[in-house]
Amino acid sequence: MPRLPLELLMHIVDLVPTEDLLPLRGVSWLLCAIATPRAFRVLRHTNTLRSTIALSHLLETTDIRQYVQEVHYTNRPGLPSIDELEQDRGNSEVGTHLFHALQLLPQLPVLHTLSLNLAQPYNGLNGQLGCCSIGQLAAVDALAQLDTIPTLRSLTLDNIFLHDIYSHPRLPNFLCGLTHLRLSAIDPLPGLYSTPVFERVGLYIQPLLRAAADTLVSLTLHFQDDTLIDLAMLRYPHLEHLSLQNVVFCAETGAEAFVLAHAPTLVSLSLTKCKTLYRSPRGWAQIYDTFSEGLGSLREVAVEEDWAPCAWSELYPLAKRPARRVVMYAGASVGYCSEDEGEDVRGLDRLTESCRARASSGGLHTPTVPAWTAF
Amino acid sequence: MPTIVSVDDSTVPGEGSSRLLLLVSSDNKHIVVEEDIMSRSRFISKQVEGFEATSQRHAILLPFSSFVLNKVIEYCSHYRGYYLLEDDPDAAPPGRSPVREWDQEFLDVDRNMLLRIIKAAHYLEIKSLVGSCARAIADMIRGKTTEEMREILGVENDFTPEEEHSPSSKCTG
Repeated sequence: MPRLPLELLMHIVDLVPTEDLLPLRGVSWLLCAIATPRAFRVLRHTNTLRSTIALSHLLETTDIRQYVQEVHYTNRPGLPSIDELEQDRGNSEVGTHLFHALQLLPQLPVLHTLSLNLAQPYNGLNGQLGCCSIGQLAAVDALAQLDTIPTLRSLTLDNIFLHDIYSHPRLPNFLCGLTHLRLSAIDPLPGLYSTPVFERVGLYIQPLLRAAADTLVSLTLHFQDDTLIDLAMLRYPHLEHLSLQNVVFCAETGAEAFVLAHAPTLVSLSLTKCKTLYRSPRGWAQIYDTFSEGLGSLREVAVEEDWAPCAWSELYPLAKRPARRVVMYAGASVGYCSEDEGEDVRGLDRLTESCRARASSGGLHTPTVPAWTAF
Repeated sequence: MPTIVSVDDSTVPGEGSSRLLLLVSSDNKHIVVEEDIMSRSRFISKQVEGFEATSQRHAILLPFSSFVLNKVIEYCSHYRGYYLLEDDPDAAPPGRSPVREWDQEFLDVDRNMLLRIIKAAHYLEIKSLVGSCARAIADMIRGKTTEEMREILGVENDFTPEEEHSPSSKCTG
């Protein structure tokens, strides 16, 4: 049996899936030494002080950071307890360590995925911003100070709260060159801001959407509530996967034209809780039919509608059906369902059927990357 | 360093666009191959540059068997004239090489042979073949136990029994 030189063993271990590195460490001392730092390819940390410090320390370690491909920083599960709130008060250490960790990202030579699930902010004691908000501020501040990371392909910013920090003029630089972008925005403190939510969406989200226009293959854009965001001017020449949530399809957003503009490349489309305007002449049946005819490369479509039973649903039968239409007033929305939406359902069936037929017949278009995954 | 022996010019014609090389395997088999085919090997290319500097043609002695050498030549012949990113990273913008299904079939050999091919490719500095072999070996390792991995890689267990039964003692620090 030929013995392999060290360089070849390292090359092979580089290609071994992360889940197989643990048994590989038990093969021999040499394999253990090779496999151990590679076991840190994917870092998953939460926004606790201990986990954030650990992330910072790992990224400072030269032997480890050269193998880090993915960094996922997520919200700890559950709501903070009173004790935690007390601890968080004045505890800026989480922010300090997160800021420090993110500042080290350019020193990760093979980093391709960064996912920041920026926890929903909550008010700490005495009206101070809590720990989660400190983390969000620190994350945005750190990213805004970084230039593009050439290897980075996939970025997730979940639970963006529509706050002035996102108007940092340098923040979009960080998004240049991405192929996968997922943004989800929340409006955590309704009534706190004088400007309506849709104006803040335009101010803070659109510069981010424009930054990666030339390279983006997959875009996920999710809002917590029904949102008017102007998509009309956005174009992504390579867009294959699109997922929208709570985007209102109307003239103000240009959402329908936005989807159709990507017909040559669009392979999968996901619409979650998207609505049209109440009493708009253009309902979902017409939109679905336009998509059936216009989206010639579409293979997959997923539509999830907003079905929210309310207290009077026993008395009011329509409340048991999904709201497909909405009235917008100063950024707030009220969902509606019409007496007869059977045509909408049939329109969706026709769209789904046209996708299924295209997928089963093969077709010419081959997606270059899978949906929602990077590498 | 490879051993280089002088050869008769009549054995290895050196004129024209497709000059021939004489490769000698460890089992002393003489294999004549077109220089173009082996240009994917940086090791061979460097040897040929050396020939041009000295205006002398030589046979190149290689430390692996003719069976392995013929497999490498088969690989190089298949990709003759093809651009492969690993072998020529400066020739095209960075990106991923296409998945080469042919390689999977070509490397469908027993693991002993696979290890010999990757060693030969490493010696000859054919990065694309090293990469394909490494991927094939990594695929073999997938989902295997530690003992099975040892067999595949041909590595001996050098842990003491205490270390082996105490995972925390391995490579901590």
